[in-house]
Order: sequence, then structure tokens, then C-alpha cells
Amino acid sequence: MRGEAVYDPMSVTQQKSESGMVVDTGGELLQKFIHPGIDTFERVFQSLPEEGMFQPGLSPTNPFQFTVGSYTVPQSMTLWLEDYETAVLLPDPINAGDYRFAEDGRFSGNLGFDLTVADGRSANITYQLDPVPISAARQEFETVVVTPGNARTPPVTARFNRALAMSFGSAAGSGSSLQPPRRRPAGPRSRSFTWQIHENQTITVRCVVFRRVLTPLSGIYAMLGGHLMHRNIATALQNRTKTI
Amino acid sequence: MAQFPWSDPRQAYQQGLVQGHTQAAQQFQHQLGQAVEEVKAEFSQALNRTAGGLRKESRDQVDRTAAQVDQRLSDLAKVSEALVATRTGACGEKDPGTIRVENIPGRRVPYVALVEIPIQSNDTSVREQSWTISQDGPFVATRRWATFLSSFEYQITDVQTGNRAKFPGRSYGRYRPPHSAADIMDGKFDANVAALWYLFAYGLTAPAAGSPMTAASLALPSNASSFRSMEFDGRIALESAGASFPRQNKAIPSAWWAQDNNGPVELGALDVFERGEVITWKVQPNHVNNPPAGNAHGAYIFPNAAATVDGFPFLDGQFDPHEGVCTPNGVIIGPAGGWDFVPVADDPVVRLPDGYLILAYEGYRIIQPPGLVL
Repeated sequence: MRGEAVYDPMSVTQQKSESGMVVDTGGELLQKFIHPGIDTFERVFQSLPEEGMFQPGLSPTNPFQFTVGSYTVPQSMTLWLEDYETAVLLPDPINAGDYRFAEDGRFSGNLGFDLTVADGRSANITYQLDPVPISAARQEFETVVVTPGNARTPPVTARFNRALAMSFGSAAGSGSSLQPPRRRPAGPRSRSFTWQIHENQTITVRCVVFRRVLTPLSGIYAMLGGHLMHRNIATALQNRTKTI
Repeated sequence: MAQFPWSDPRQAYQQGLVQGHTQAAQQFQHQLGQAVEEVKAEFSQALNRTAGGLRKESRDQVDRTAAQVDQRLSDLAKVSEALVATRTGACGEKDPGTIRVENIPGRRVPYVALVEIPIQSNDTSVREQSWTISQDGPFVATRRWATFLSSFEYQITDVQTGNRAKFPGRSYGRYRPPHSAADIMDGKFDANVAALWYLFAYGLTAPAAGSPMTAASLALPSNASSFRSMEFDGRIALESAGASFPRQNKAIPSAWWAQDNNGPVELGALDVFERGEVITWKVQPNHVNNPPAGNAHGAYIFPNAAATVDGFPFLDGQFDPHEGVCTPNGVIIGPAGGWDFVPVADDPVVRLPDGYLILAYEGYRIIQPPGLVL
């Protein structure tokens, strides 16, 4: 056995890729190929405006909220949500009866969107939809961990200001996870986004209007996009990835 | 007297003939038997030769095979020996096979691995923290714990002077349950207070039919949360980096991280974390701290018609009775006197319901000194 060459698939692969001698059939086409066993999934929800969005009494402690749309993953299936977007629809000034998307970020001082999966928000996200007063003390040097002890350091006023300004979604339950209307999912724009939604779980897009809207609206828009597959396929695909 | 055999020639001839035949037959038989014996001997010799050859060949073949097997076993043993980390010292075994936790050498030191995850006001999405297993040795978890540390504070702005003052709430620095499932205050707020209020309100001057309530009491049950202040509810997942064994990577309710209010929960089995592994706790709150839920606020109790906004008490204040928070001059008597209440329009109190979720794995470390392990 000694002296025999040992087969190492990794080294062979590396040799091939380094030399560029082997090209897979179809080139890079296969890398973007979606097997027919995986269904393309998309839902577009559009809600008409309601009087509640324009009522004067709206405030962060008295918001108007409604469900734009929801989807329950069927039994034995798994949904990989890879894209979503939310927007406010405005009347089209030229083509009567049509509508257009409001610019990204517009109306974020009036309303926001809350995406929940089984009432949870599986991401580390915080949005300051209400602008926060500037901190007199530098925020990066504020005491974060309060350890009960002999000496108690009261937090700086800026923290109260932030807590007050960021309470726009607290009465609605979404807290600071309320997302601005924008046409991209949470997280970095340059990277892929995936939420795994298991069978019988429901993804819900809610809209929370926490301040009176003064502009005529055509509607509220939300889109969910992803891939729907059998849970065994999802599990098999996921098992191909390894925890660090 | 003996008679001569040849006395009678016929008889002698007959006798000679018989005798000759007998001798010939005897000689023939002797020769035949000898030939058979020779053949037997030859066959036996040939058989012995053949059998002997076969035996030798078989033995040689078996010997050769055995030698090959021995060689392979020897090679295998060498490979195994190269793969097995040899333990020396008290443990003594070269191949320990399946190691039980009890057999892991090292000194046992009780230890609680914990993280303090800040859950700030208005947080509702995932927050996480990690703990790295020391290089001193493995960590064996036996139970899990959770508690919530309140750091509730509030700030009051004087309406007239604009001065600000900060106070800790009553729950500040106190450990709270990490879930509401065992809440002893749930739905327990004094119903008799409401009854007293009704008796009081109607006992003086009965309002006209159809008119809204003219006055209210701060002790209205709807004015205070029936839940304990600064209780946490959420989902907790636990992931281990550096191991190919997934842990509790699907989030479970925080109610399952504590028995009753704050008891430990036994793990289903001893959980052994190797040195260098990283335990990450991920927490997703179900609600903001001290959620201002419901619609019980000043609009229905002290409506401030003049300011067209909700008057005192404010929605955020539903935990104020528990926390000892008071709105100074929240309601003043109007010019008409008596029941003419004029509540303040703006809430002078800003609450900061920050807290820290403390999650722990209780167990023991197995301290193994570097180098020789005894």
C-alpha cells in the first residue's frame, strides 16, 4: 500500500479549476438552475386606503394597523422567503385610475411595515422611523450594561429621548422592528436574504400607521418572493451546509 | 502293518494325481495372494504419497494466507495506532473506545455559563450573545436557567420649569420572571376597587342618562396592567459553533427555560461542549418591555377635550402603579370646581424599560491542565 497514490477529490477539483481545463456542461447555467421540484413563489398584496389612515387622532400610542396580506405554508412544505418589498401607492397624475409607487423611504414618518413569521421576527433589526434628537453625550460612550451595585449611574437624557422617539411601534406590538416602506428586504443589499418558513407557519405583513397621513393614497403594497418546496428537499439542501 | 501306496498302480496314480493338483493349487493361491498384497502395498504407498503431498500443499496454502492476514492486521494495527491518541498515566488504556463523561480525566469544578443579553426598550427582534468554552477543558451542562433583570428608569420633565429628574423604577435591579406563564398578578387586579369607584361616582350625583362618565379614578382596573412589571416573554434558541452536533437551534418559549417563576430546567441529557466551542444564545422578544397595549388611556378616562388629545393617564403609564411612577399634577381641578377635572395633555414622564435577559447553562467544567493529563 505504501507508495501508492492516494485519491484526493479536493486536490483533483482544485487542479481542474486552477488550470481551467474542465468546463461543466452548460457552463455556469447549472448554478442558477432551479429544479422543477422547487416552485417559484410570489405573492403581491395591495390594500385600498381606509379612513383610519387619515384620522387626526393617530399617534404612536394610538396607531391604526391592519394586515396587508399573509400566507400560510402548506402541510409538508417549506418556504424559503428570499425577497420582499413594501411600498405606498400614490394616484398616478397622468393616467387616471392607475397608481405609482411612492419613492423609497417616503411616508416612513407616518407608517411602517412589520413582517412576522409565526408572530416572530427572526432577524436582528432596529429601525428609527422617527428621527431621534441628537445626543448631547456621545452615544458610543454611554453606559450600556447597568449592573445593580452601590453606585447607580442614571442613563443620560439622550437615552430617554431615544426611547420616546422609538416608541412609535410599541403600542402596535412591533416595537422598533417596524420597517420603513421600501422596495428591498432587511439586511445588506449586496447579500442574499433568506427566511425559512416551515410548514403551517404563517408569514404576515402588517402595516402600522402611527401618524396621520396627509396625502391621498391609492393603496398599500407588499410583495413576498421565494421558493416553495417539499420540506424533505429543504432539509436535504440545508444539510448540505455545515455549521461553522 | 503299513500298506505300500504303490502296491496298487491305479491307486498310486490316483493318489499322485490328487497330490499334484493340490500342490499346484496351493502354489497358485500363494502367488495370487502375493500379487494382491503387492498391489495393496503399491496402492497404499501411492495413496500415502498423494495424501501427504496434498496435506503439505494445504498446510502451505493456509500458512501463506495466515501470513498475509497477519501482515494486514499488523498494517491495520499500525494505522489504528497512528490514529488513536495514546493516553498515558492513570487512564492507561491505549484505545479508550466509548468514553463516558465520568471517564473524562480532569478536575470537576461547578460552573454556570451565562450571558446577559440587553433587551432595550422597544426591542422586538433577535438579540444574541455568545460564550466560548475555555481551553481548560470541556464543559458539561446539566440544567438551564433564565431570569430577567430590570433596569427600569424614568425621567420627569417639570411642565413649568422644564427641569428634568431621573428615577429608578421600583423594579430596578430586581430579578423578574423570564415569562408570564406563572404570573401571579395575571387578571388579579382589584375588582373591588372598580366597584368602589362605581359606588363613589354614582353615590354623589347621578349623571344624566346617555352622558359619558363624568369622572374616573386612577384606581380603575383598566388603568393598570394586570401583568407584573418588567416581565420578559420571548423565544430562545441555542446554537453551538465549532461542533457538528446541532443543539437547540429551534427557538423554544422562554416559559420552558424556567420552572414556575425561576426554577432550573433539567436538560434531557448531559450536554458536553468541547473546548473551543462557542455557545450562542439567540433571543427574540415576544413584546416590548412593559408593552403599552390595550386602549385604556386618558381618552376614555380623563378625556382632554380642550387639547383634543388624550389626557392623563397615558397609555404608557399602565405599569406606573407597580413601578411607583407618578405624573406630577396630572389632573387639576378646573374653574368649575368639583368634578371639573382638567388633565394634562402631554405626558411629562418618559419611561426607559430596559432590561437584561440572563440565560445560563449550569453544570461543571472539567479542568485539564496543559500537557500531561493525569
